[in-house]
Amino acid sequence: MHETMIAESLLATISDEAAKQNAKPISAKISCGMLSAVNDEILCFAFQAVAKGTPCEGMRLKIEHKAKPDAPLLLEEIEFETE
Amino acid sequence: MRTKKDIRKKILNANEDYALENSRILSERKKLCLNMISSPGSGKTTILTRTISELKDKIKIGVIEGDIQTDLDAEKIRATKAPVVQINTNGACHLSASQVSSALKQLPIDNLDLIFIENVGNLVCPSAFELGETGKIAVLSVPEGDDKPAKYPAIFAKSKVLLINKIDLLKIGGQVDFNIERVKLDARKLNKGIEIFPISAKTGDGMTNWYDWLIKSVEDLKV
Repeated sequence: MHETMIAESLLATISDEAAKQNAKPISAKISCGMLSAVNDEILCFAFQAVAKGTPCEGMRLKIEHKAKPDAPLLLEEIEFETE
Repeated sequence: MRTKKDIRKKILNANEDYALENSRILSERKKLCLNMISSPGSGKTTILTRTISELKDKIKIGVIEGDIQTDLDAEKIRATKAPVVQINTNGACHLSASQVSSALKQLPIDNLDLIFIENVGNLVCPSAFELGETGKIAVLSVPEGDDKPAKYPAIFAKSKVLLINKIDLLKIGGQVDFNIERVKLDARKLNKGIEIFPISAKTGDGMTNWYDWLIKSVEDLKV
């Protein structure tokens, strides 16, 4: 259930970056360790729900689980569609 | 055309900013702050009320109570005369650092030695949100079963102390299957340095070891 707060925080960061780049975000890569207790399916579902009606709607999330248990929850990169 | 941009930014940075600020406020004043995390019904509030009453001449304790709804737990703490602030998360399954930041402002922290944060009853989500605390305390009670450290590793891996509560139930022969050695082994596999205290907040069994650890931790901070 904490994935909703992670999704909201992620949406805010990606939206800021998209505004700066003036481009549409297509996908994002995220990494985390076991201690972040992130469930991929729930995070993707929560992200779609909070992104609805925003430029981030329909974005794909790739989640990489690092071997280091306390690896921080990071937004690694965003892929943009540019003109 | 598609382009990729490196971001490398912490996703929960807003929460972490508040957590850092809470941690700064607490460490500047040399206050111990312990974030208690467990399933609902493991006995967090009973542990707190007994601890506050029995240590009242030794340590000054304040409490931040987190619950989805009601101030039932804050009422129980208030009965011990300890200062308490209730946070209602209204559905959220964990406390966040911004909520703790405003609760700290409502507590007379300069007059306290130790602040307990009783998190929302949940063995998973609260472990992912730093609040700025000095350390986490995991509580596991006997009726929940001895497989919990293996099944819910995050909180056991991150805690300074594991309190195994309701050990009085182990004396009811044949009624409860709970291998305390298995819990210790699984918890230490995740966290070599974790302190483990089997207790019963109801009967008082084992509580002295927990109190000694608290008193020592408060004193160590002041040195």
